[in-house]
Amino acid sequence: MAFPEPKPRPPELPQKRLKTLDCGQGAVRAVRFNVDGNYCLTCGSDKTLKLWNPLRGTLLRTYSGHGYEVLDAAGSFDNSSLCSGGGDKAVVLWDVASGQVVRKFRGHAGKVNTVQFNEEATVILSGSIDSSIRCWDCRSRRPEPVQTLDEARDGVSSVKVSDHEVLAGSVDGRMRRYDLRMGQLFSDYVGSPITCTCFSRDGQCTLVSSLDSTLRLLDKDTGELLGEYKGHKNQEYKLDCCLSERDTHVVSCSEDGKVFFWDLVEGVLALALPVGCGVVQSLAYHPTEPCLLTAMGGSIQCWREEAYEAEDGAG
Amino acid sequence: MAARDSDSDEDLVSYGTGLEPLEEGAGRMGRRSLWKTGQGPRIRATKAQIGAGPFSKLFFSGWTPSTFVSSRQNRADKSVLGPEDFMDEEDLSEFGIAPKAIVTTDDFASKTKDRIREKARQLAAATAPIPGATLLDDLITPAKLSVGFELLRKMGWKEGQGVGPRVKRRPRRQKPDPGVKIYGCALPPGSSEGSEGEDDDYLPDNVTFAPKDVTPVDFTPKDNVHGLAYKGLDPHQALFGTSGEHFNLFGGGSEKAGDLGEIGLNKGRKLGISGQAFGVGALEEEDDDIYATETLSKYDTVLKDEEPGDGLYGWTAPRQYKSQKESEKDLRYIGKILDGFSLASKPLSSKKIYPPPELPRDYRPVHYFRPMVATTSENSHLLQVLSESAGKATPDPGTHSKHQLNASKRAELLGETPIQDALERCLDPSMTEWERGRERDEFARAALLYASSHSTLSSRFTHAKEEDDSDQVEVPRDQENDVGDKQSAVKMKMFGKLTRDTFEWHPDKLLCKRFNVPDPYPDSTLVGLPRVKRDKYSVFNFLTLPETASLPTTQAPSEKVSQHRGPDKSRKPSRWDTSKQEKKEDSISEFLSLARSKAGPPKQESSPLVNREEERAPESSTNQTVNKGVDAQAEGEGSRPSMDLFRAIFASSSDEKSSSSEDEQGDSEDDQAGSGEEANFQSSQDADLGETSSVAHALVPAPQEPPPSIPIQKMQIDEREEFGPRLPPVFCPNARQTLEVPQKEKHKKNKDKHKAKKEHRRKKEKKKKHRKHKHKGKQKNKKPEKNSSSESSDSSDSQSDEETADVSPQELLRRLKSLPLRRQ
Repeated sequence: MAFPEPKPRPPELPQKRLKTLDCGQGAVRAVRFNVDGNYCLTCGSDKTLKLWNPLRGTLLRTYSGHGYEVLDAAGSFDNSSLCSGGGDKAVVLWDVASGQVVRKFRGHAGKVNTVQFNEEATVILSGSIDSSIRCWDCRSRRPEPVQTLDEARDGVSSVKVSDHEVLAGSVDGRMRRYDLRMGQLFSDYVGSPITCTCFSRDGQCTLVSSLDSTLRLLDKDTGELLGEYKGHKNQEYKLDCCLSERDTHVVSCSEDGKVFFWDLVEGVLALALPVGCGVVQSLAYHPTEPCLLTAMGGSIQCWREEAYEAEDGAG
Repeated sequence: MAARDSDSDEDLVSYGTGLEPLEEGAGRMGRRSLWKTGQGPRIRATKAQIGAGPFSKLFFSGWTPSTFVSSRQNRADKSVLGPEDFMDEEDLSEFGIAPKAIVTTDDFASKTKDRIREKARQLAAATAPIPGATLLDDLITPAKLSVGFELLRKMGWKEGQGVGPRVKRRPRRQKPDPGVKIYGCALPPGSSEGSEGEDDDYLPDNVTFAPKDVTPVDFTPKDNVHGLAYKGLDPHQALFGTSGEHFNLFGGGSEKAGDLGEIGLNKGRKLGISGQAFGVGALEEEDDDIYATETLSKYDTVLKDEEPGDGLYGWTAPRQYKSQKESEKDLRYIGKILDGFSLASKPLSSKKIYPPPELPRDYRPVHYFRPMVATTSENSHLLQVLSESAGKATPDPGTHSKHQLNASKRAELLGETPIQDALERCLDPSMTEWERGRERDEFARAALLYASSHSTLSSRFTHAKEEDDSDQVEVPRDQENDVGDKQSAVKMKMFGKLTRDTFEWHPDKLLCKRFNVPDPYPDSTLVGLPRVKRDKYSVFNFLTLPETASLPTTQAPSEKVSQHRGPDKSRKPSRWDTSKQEKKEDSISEFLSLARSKAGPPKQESSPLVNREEERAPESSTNQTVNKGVDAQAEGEGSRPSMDLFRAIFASSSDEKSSSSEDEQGDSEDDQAGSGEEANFQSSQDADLGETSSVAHALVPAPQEPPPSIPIQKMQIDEREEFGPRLPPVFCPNARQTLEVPQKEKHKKNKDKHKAKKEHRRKKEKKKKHRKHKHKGKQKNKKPEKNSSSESSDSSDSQSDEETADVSPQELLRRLKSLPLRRQ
């Protein structure tokens, strides 16, 4: 799919299993697309981070250097570096090409649940079970974080970053949005422990999933409820949720081995995609195309829409 | 991608295809990986198609990649091809575009490059009748230095440095102009590169720097009849239009008096072809200012009647005439301005004169000494009054800082019983006298032992966030309060104003810089949430009144929501009951906490709800305190352990009030929850009036769970959930196909899986238990076994680092044996 078709197509959901990759790194804790969606990262419980071409199914590089299982990873906007965080309480900045550890940031008192680059990859934000978010400076060589956001009362399960905001979901049942431009912190109470948060792609809404098996779409500015999505099962585990590439659907993992798609506006269940019989631990949605990656157990699956031609890009 | 993929099949060089769009491709990562897989021809073809620049010859001159090495085995040490790899040898030679030979740059060229003299010479050259006559001088330079130079150099001085003792350079804080808003990449005009660099650099404290060099005043005598600062027209610059930089030797035109040190630096950095005829080359590091050309058109060639403004005539350096400014000045200054002079652009800053304070009429210059009052318990009140009237806060005897107190005083302040008494209380009454004596001895020994090992232990603990011995406590100015209120709002799905708290939050300056946003609070040095000092034991501290401002606004969102939702839904069953029940429960807790806060330092809780809250709060706060454990190590040395530790050792473990400040946090939350209830009650009433029948979301057909059971359910859920969502198990119980995990990894989770498949690991450790582990240490070895076999509520820190070593060799062997079986 080098050249997108000019005419707008009706939204299609990725429901054709294209590939299943055995990552060979224990449980895949998280799967993440890179910035343009051509590659993906898998975080393994065997302390490694792997870079794949998910369409071809080729392993490009293995990054090892964590002392414990890797829980989350992210790629920078220019694909030149990666960051990851894991059970060893460390946040690691990697050089993509050489596979070497560039920096290792220590300071968290607990497992690092989630990491994110900022837009220009100058800061890594890491959320940890120690209920803090730390902002690590990639530019200077100072060992301590630039700032620690310790407003959360319990572990931070999810951190997302926009150009001037930091969105964090915490187990204390609150979603906090730090607006750097306005210098304000907005705290939205959801009640149930939050497992994942994300911005909509238009930046107007926030999606929150919590352990009461509910996803909520909130207006970013006012905090009002725009939609509620139920039907999946999420009561124990930290599962991912996201929005589809054109904000048409809400996608969430489920503990019953399916991936649920809801229509964003109508809130009705559009598709319950059976992945397997385990828990769908993590998922990642392609930034521009209807392509979904799911992680279950020790493998990841790549899904495309029904009309997708395999030889087009998969080679 | 399609184009690239297709040519893995064919090795033909296709001239017809266009370039693949770079954004579409995988960026650096992807291309490199393609190179590695040995698709060389494609690259060459692309280069040929580019056809621009000197690289086009690469292809046509039969260039081939140096060697092709399969990188399948050694991906990690794959080198990155730079531009040099595509160059010919002559490019790398001395006169090529990228000379490889090491040449001394001007900065390091010769000792005889005395800058001052050089400047003098340049000045002389400029004023000499034949420009460039000093060329000869350049060629014949004495290779000798003055004695002063030699001496200075012997003393450690280096060229470019100033003379004097080394100084510590403190990072200059770049003060952002509040008026200037910066978006995008542009730097504010004031901030130079220097300050940027200094901000970025992490400067250690013990590094000193040589002082900056001082530019000496130029005392070249004026021996001509030209005007001041007159510079003759340079024929080279004017006629050929070349920038002054290349003819630095003659003109010195580009140099300013301030930065003598920059001479020749630009010249030295130049690489390859430059000059305006070529445009801005890709290899040039910085662009020439292509507009700074000097041409004849800038000069006046005709004598006119009146020059606008400055009254300068003839061949003078080109200046922009600032006509309107001049006229403005002319308005200000009435009188004839002498030729060659102009009005100052900046007005002289008038000195501000502060008059001395006016003395009262009956002032007598006699000092009155306040009577000294001895500090005793009786007159403490008097003392306080005195000190208050004096306007300065003399340290209250009750609120010494903790460093001035010893352990016994502190214990006294805290109301703790002395150690011996505590021991007496802990002793079993059925003990004999001899046993008691032994116990006492042991106690004393343990206390000694503890004191010696304290330093190691103190690294593990940290001081409480809030000091126990001061009456004031730093609390966030605004707190996320009234959870109860919010809970009912969530249940009613009235998200928005009810569930949202907004705080002022100060991002770090550097963080703003990194995010490329202007600092929202440029004047404040605060970082994070603003904090205020409050009376620690004040009732008002805990009774946070609900924001009355939010009350009228509750109507609006609810209406909005009701519009948003469909009209067809019936009233949610007994929502009213829910809030009532909540209210009931909360009123109990409110009462409790009220009583508690009146009683002073909080004691143990009894209500289940309170317990829940309490457990949460310590957990999070310990998390926070653990963060700072490293910092706290230094200050923790040498102070005596608190009573709590002895209790933890000697008393039974039922004592829960280990750290009062943490409990208090929990309390405050309770109280807020309780006190916010009233508002909730009202608001729900309001909401009820506003939308009686449309609470359930139209978009969600799923029925609500019956609310009456919620409090209990919720409690149980919370009991389970308070450690957060876990990670899913590695494998589901009946998934056979997903078993290709490296079984060698010594992970607890595998063990878990093998032992009890249904058991799920926790994502979050039970912090409390974790702490206990550290306290006791003995149970650690037993614990994992218990964990893995018992139900998940018990399995606390199955993933903590300490236990990774617990896997016995037998266990490993067993796992290894079980491996092939599972594969089938």
